[in-house]
Amino acid sequence: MKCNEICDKLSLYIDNELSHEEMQQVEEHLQSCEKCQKELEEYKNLISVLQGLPEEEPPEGYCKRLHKKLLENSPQSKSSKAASIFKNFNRYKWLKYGSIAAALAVVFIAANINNFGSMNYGMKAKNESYDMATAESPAEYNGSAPQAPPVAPQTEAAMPEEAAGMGYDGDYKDIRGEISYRSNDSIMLATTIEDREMKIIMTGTISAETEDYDTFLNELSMKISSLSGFLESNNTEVYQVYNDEKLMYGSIRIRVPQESFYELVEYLENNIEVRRKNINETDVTKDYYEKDNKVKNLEIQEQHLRELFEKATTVEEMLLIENELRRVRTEIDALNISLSDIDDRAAMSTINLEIQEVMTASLTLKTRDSVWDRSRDGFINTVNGIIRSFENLVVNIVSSSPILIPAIIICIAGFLKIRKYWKKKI
Amino acid sequence: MLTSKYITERGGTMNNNERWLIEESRKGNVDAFEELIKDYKRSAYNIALRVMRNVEDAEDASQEALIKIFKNISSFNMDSTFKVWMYRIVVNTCIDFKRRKSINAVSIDETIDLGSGREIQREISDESNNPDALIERNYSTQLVNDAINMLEDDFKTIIILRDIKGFTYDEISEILACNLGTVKSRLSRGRKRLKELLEKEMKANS
Repeated sequence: MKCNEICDKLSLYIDNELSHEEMQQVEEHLQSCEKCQKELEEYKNLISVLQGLPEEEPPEGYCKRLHKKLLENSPQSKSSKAASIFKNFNRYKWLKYGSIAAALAVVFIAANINNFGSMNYGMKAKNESYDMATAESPAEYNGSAPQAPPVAPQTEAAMPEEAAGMGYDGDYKDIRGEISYRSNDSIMLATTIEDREMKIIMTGTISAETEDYDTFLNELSMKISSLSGFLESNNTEVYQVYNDEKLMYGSIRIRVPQESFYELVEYLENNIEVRRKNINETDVTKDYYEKDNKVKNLEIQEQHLRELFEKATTVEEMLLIENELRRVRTEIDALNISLSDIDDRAAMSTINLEIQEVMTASLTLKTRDSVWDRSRDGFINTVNGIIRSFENLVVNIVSSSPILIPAIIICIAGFLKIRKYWKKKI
Repeated sequence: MLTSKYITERGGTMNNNERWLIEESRKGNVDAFEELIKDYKRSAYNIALRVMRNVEDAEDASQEALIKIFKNISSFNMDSTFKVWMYRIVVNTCIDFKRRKSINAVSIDETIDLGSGREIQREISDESNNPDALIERNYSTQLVNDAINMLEDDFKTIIILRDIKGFTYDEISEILACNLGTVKSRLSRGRKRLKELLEKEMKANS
């Protein structure tokens, strides 16, 4: 072996990093070559000097400065920073931001009250119009009116129950945290309720008589399609033959968007002789969101399982997890189906209409309610409705003005302040 | 005799006290962290000093590295020893710091141009005649320091880690994130280069 090659290995030789063979080669060579021995000595010498190099002491105050920087970067200090910001908030600022916050809260609450208020107004107004249109037993309508106000408390009451339902698995700390946060903050609670869409399923059952079944049915189907609804089923039969004239009986199921439910009911009442009417509003909000939360929980569970599945090593583990995954998936799917069913039923109201063709009974009716009379009544009704809704609007605005006007002023002032502040900053 | 120093305490088992201090540091306990780096901060400073070659930058770079360690201690996964992990950050931060700095760095050998042809020489305090700095060996400490300063960064860091700090080859490969072969060849070449530089200087001095 040449000296050059040996020289290159000397460094590793010193550190004992050579293989046994190479080590022997180097040792053999060293015994015979003085030049390389000298080289080795020089290397050893250099390394021992390097080892003996004195370490410099850090300059004075090094530790102090480091300590300060560490404190600045400590996550604990962030909270103390926040605290000091709070302290620096002077009274004026507290007053300003506090008043803005209070104003916002007041506006929010006022808006809520108004919502509920106008809902009641609307209900009453409808009640009256029903009473006017058909002199049916009022007891039936009263049933639906008081139903509306309890809707809100119901959803509110649903919250804690739901919280219990959501927290059923101790593992989901984040969800629990979220819930405790929500329940701590009443404004948050209010917003979450506000965010929730109310799920109300409306169903109506109407029995009625008509003189001209076919014409009515044609008109009805046109009306329904104008309301973007549809005839779900139509079961028509001849139930009697009288003087060569067939009398028809039909059992019809109509689906219309929830918004136009009452419009259709009103239309029916105006066009046919209603014998029996039953309207039902079922609030399924609570049920719906309970199911919704269950789905969310299960989805988290599913995700955990998937993570576990990736970590699984044995086939047995994989099978177990897969089984569990399938069970969770099935449950999610089942819940989702019932959720979409509720969605569908809440979005589209159902009216079951039983209609019978009659010959004489309504003849008198026809003479009494001439086209002129009916259109006059309708006109008065409409005008009354317009006047009433306008009145409601004015009442709402005027009654909430003591809150609304200062709130708006404060909001604008705050907005300008903030904009000024930003401009200054830039 | 030489090798005995290199057998470090890398037994793999981290002592419990260190583990506890790491846990506390993760929670943001500054005192625990300071206790943890008590023995290392001087080393960190010295590595920075070797790389940066001036006291102010060495302090800034080493403190930046230590703060980086404190901030990222939660990402330390106990795979390697804390010492190895932390030196890795120190070395990387120092080299990075130097790279950033070198954009507007000036060499001490350069003359300062004042324009209109007037030039002045930088005045650098010369400590080479300080008797305390001389150690009676074949190479004087000052000479070795100068030679190290002249080394390329790659060679410099590996010689600092191996010969000055006494890390094993395995640890160095972890700290520098390169394989064992690279460590071996780079160290061999680094030592050779250092020796050449020293010989050149000795010749120049005599």
